[in-house]
Amino acid sequence: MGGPLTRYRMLGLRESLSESDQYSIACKQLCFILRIAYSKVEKILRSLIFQDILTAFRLLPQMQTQAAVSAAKLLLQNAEAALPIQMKVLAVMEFKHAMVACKRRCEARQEEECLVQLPPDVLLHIFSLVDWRSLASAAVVCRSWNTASSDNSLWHLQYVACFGNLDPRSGERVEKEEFKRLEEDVAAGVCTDWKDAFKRAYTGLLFKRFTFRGYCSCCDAIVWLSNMTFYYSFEPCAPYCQEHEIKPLINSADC
Amino acid sequence: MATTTTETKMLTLCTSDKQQFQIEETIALQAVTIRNMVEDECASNVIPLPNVNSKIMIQIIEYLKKHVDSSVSKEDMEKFDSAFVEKKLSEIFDIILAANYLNIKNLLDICCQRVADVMKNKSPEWVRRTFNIVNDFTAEEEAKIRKEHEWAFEGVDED
Repeated sequence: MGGPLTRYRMLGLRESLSESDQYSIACKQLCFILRIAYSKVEKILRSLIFQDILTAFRLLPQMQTQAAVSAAKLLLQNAEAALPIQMKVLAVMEFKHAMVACKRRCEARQEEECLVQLPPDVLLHIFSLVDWRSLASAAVVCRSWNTASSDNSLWHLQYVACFGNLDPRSGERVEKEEFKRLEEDVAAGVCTDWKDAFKRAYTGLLFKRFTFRGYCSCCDAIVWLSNMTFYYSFEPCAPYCQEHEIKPLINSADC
Repeated sequence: MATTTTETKMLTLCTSDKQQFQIEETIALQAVTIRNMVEDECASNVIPLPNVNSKIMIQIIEYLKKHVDSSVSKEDMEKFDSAFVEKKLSEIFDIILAANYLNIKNLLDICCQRVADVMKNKSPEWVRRTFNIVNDFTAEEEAKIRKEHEWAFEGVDED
């Protein structure tokens, strides 16, 4: 696997920080590294970690989410505890700048006016083309998006895509039976809340098995999994192999 | 009904800003709304399209002209489509509205796909900012809806 430096690089934290959906996870992993490993690693890796912390603060204004702000705050606390004094001062300064920029952006945004209002049938069309996590995110955007993204048929499709035909690696018989039962309900004319069914199936699976990392089974590169549809959207990035074959990292000891 | 020049039948489309476009009937009929108008014979010489402005109409005609051409290979057509949707989002939204009104299914499909690709895996804040959507929830409503969807952001959003 190479030394700590190589392994740290393979985590791709800096790249992850620039993706809005991965920012907070990357911050948390930096926190973890600061707490557990920072004092034990060589100088060159320490400076790399420090640079990544600064990058995290610099990118904060672009993220515009409350989650990103709290992740950055947590990172600052950990940095204050682990870093030597000069670096600490630099990190605090960078964080303060980022918070000021965040506030400014927030104010500027409020002045923009609404330009578009798509009709519900078009929204439904668009939402049928995205994954479930984006669907959940769309529900928080505004009223019309909330209504359209909660459409039962959309969540039915998502349920079938994620749990209807479970991958044998992560699949569990329980969900399959649950799915059969739900399908029978539909055939019998019983109305099923697919969004709720999806939520139950997903949360059950998440706590049991899923982490937010995956690995490539042929080159062992570690990659991000931001949701369960990573199979389609993942682009090969590491130089080790052309076509990654991505599998989720699973919490349980038997894998 | 339509004016006839030599052998090809022409239709005149009139946009919301009163611009007139003369195009071949075969091109225009790809839009189901126009086809219905012509078939029902409610279209006189000029077909009014009050929901489409000339700026968008030009782009839609460009699209229809390419798609009526049966000599274009499938591969070239896909290339054309993917280049066609490389526009500003505000324009894409306008084209979506027009394609929806004119009922041009494949145009609507590729534009919706573009929007879907843009919003994929993005936070609600990012979507609002990028699509210029005003958050019309009250603070309490938003907090409630966020809570309802917390499970989907587990591990991303937990604190």
